[in-house]
Amino acid sequence: MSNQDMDTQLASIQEEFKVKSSEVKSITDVDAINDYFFNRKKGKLTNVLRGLKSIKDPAEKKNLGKLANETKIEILAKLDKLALEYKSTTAKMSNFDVTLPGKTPSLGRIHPLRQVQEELVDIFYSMGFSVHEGNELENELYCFEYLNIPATHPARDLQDTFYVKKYQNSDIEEVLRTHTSNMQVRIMEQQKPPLRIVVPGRVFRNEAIDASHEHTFYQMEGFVVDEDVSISNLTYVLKEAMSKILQQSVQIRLRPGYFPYVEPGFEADCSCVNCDGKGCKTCKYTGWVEMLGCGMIHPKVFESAGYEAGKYTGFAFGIGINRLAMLKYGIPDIREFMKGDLRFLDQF
Amino acid sequence: MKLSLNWLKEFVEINETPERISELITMHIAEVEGFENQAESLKHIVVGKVLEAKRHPNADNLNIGQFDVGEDNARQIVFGGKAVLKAGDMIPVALPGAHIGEITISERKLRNEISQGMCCLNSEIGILDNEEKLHFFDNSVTTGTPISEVLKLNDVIIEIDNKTLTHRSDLFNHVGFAREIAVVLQKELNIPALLEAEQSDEIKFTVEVEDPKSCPRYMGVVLNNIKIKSSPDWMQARLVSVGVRPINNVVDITNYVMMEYGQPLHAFDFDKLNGNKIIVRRAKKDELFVSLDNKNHKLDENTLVIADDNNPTALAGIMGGLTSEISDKTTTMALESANFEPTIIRKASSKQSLRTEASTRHEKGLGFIFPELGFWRAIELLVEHANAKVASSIKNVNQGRPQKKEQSLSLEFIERLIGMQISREKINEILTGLSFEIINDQEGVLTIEVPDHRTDISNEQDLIEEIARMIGYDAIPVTPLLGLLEPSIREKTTYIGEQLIHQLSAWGAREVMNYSFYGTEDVEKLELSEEKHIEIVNPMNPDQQYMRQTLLAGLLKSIKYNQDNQYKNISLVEYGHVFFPNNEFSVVAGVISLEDNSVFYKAKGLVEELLIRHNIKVLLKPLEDSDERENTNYQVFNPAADAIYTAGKSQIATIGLIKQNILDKYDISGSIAFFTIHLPRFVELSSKTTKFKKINLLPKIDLDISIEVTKEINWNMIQAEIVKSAGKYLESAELFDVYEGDKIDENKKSLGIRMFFQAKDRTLTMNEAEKIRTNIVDQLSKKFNAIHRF
Repeated sequence: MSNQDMDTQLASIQEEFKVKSSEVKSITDVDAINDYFFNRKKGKLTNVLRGLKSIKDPAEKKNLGKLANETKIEILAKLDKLALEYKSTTAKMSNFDVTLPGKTPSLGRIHPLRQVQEELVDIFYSMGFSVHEGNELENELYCFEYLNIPATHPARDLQDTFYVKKYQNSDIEEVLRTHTSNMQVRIMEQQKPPLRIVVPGRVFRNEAIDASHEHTFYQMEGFVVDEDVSISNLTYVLKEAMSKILQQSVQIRLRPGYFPYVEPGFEADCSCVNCDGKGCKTCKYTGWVEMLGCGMIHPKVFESAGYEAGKYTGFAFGIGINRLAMLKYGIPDIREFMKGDLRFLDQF
Repeated sequence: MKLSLNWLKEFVEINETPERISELITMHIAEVEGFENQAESLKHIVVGKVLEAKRHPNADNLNIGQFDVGEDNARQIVFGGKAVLKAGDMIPVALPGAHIGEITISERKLRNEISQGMCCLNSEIGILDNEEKLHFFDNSVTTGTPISEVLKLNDVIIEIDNKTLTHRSDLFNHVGFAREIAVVLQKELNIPALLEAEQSDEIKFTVEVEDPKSCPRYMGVVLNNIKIKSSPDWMQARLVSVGVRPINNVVDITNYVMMEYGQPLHAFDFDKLNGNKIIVRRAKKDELFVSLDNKNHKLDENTLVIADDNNPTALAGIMGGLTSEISDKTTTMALESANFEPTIIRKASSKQSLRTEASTRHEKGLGFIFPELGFWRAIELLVEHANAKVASSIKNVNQGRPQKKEQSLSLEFIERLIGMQISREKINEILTGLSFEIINDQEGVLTIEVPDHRTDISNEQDLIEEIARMIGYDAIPVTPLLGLLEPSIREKTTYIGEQLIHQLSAWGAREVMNYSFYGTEDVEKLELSEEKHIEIVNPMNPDQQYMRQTLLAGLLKSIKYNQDNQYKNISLVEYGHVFFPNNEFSVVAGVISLEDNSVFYKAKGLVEELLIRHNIKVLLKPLEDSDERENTNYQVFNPAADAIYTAGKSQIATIGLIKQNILDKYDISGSIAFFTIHLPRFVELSSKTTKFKKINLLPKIDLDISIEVTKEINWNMIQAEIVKSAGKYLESAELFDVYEGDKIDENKKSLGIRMFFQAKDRTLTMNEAEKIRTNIVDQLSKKFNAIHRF
């Protein structure tokens, strides 16, 4: 092979590479070019480099060697670049089915009542309310007596309240709490105002179950006690909390209601979120949805807690968590919550 | 309770629309459930004249008639066999578009004959006596006139939710509501003055109250010369409109007065009373009584009765008796108007399952003034509409009028509780409008005299409620809550319990909520002991008789329920309270189901990971090695596969496989692992914070061994031996495979163990690590006859 030949060959290799590399469509084509020029036995550039050995003139050998080497480095660099390009973008594994179903981690679920309860707790916690749960088995003093519900009150009848058989020598009956308001006096006895408390938890009523009644359900009692707490503050707290949970700004409307442990007592309505208070089927065309019972803490309750008469004022409210969850998720039947049916629970 | 708007208008001027007045009542007095506009509900019901009537050709019990309803052409109407109609009869006819109950009348074919309307019975459209009979109009009425016009049915009936009146015995009547409405509308209240009747000595009559505590006031009188007949149309219409069935003039008057003034009254046929006497006494044990509705009652000493010389003749404040009922033949009557003690009435009414309009009012406690209002008003109406004459002296047995209640009211407190300033004029206007009297006003403190009918007022806040609700709660501004800002806290057991539930659900468990009760059946199935359980006195049913001591019963039932719906291999968890005498606490428990016993390790892995995440160091012991081996609650486990986690003396958690015979009883397939975490103990130990350990950056060497040992050698023993014989360079030893099966001896298992070696101060050589491994293998074979396989 003459020197002149080698020179021409290198030029034609460069030319050939230019053509071949412009036709590359996949990583296989890149590999083929690599093999075409650099195969150890019959690669085109390998052959040229091998021919360098036969050049006698050291100056020429050096010169041509340099040229051949530069060509090699240049082509290899370009090949690397091409390989990288085709590997990262268009390297398709054949027949890879992206439409096959994904592998889901095994499904766990939080009960919808807990989800609503936690949402409520988070809202009130963020407003400076402390959270207590308390016991479900309660004596009649904290559940009734201290809350101005005397023995003659209908709520204390057997048809409304579950009583437990005496297991100890005591004149005081024990009941399954009918509301989480049982914690009002317990907490007031242990802590001095200012108090901002919520008590989410399980409560019991001895009543036959149907689509809208359960003997076991969840409630969240809330109360605030300080020296100058007013009706006007109660409306504020309810408005803020309801706006958060319903995720839009709502109005609160108080109207007369009766609960023995508050005075005055209110029914609180919330402007209908479905029609923005304009009137629709959900709110029976009134623009308002009945939300909860509340009121200003009765002086008898403060008296039970041993607070100085007239020193403090406060408000209390009770939110039915089941009812709220039914409203929020559109659940028509309250019995679903306690069934343990995964076809129900897996929806939330 | 139903209110007639026309009736209210007798006492106060009301010009508002039904919608508006309903809203005002809801916002200021009590919740209105809805209202019925009579003219509206009787729309398209007109007077029709029968022109011709004949049998329906295709139906034995139907007729066909031609009716003149004031239109150019007569209408053909198919009507039922009950109505006997002849040409010329004028009756109520519903035309297409009319609403009868849930039905809207339209033109349609009945047995092939066209019917263009409907003939209406009184009961179908709720008019007059509301009986199943047809009303015939006078011939002078023009056909086609709406019947609401002819019958003057232009009232609006407002339905009040009684629940919001629980404490207001004074509001179960029209006068009471009128008083409140007058204040809301700022109008005059016009209650006609009642005249006291003159007494007479024509007939001797005595009233004896044996139990004045249960009957603080009893007014009675005898009236004679009575003519029993129907009460006037207007009175009947009013009674029907507020839901009371008219009977005769005397009975209707007593009901009318109750609806008007709120005082329940009773009329006795005086000739049926033995000894010209009324005795108010407790019933004797097992005394028998037949009530007006012809039902037998067995009484006891807790029931108050009105008796004559011999027998009870009424259940006081609840219902009269059959024997002294007012009948067509009655000419002489005794009228009763009394106060009874609320609790005794409530208990008797509930015991005898008799709830009446009278008991509803008495059990709320009526003020001392009520009996006299009802009494004088009734006598006035009896004289006017039943030809009655007062024939005896007037009895008024009581312990004297109670002293007027006085209540102080601080002006500063009004503002403090409501959160806005209210003018003195407004306070005066509201309180005097509601019949309160301001008898003193000194240094910002008012002294208020409470009117006799307001038995519900007992403190300052009660008076503030009157002021605030009359101003309107919607007039009160919304003011942010101010106060000391202290960090709020969360009850730890609840909070951590919830965290555990979240963690378990992230690992695939579903949270369920089960009842806090179970019954004898579950106690037997789980082999628990009944007598240690807290028992419900009045359970819904025997399945809910005991307070739960374990969440297992509910969880197993949930597994069964879902297995029946083709759910397999599920994990269910629950947060809940368990109940022991004087000891209620919360637990987090779970059941995991799989085809085989490996489910135990799944439960174990979950529990241990929870313990690790909360930095709780525990010891695992089989239950039989613990103090709890006798505890019946733990007998549910298969004794070969149960364990308890302890930290010091504290037992934090138990896990185990549920016994096969229990699973059979619950009809559950596969294997079930159950775990319970005692939350208060878990929380107590979880408070420690994590301490950072320096990370060893030097290279680690991992080497495996595979050994065969007999099955009774447990992993704990092998691990302990490895740790002991390895020395300080062993970083950890992990079990990665357990094999039992055909390829090895029946009584043996093969374990694959991976060990990591690392030095703290230099790079450990492979040579050193291999030397340690050889030593471990030697020791294992010496101790446990372990055979090492490569």
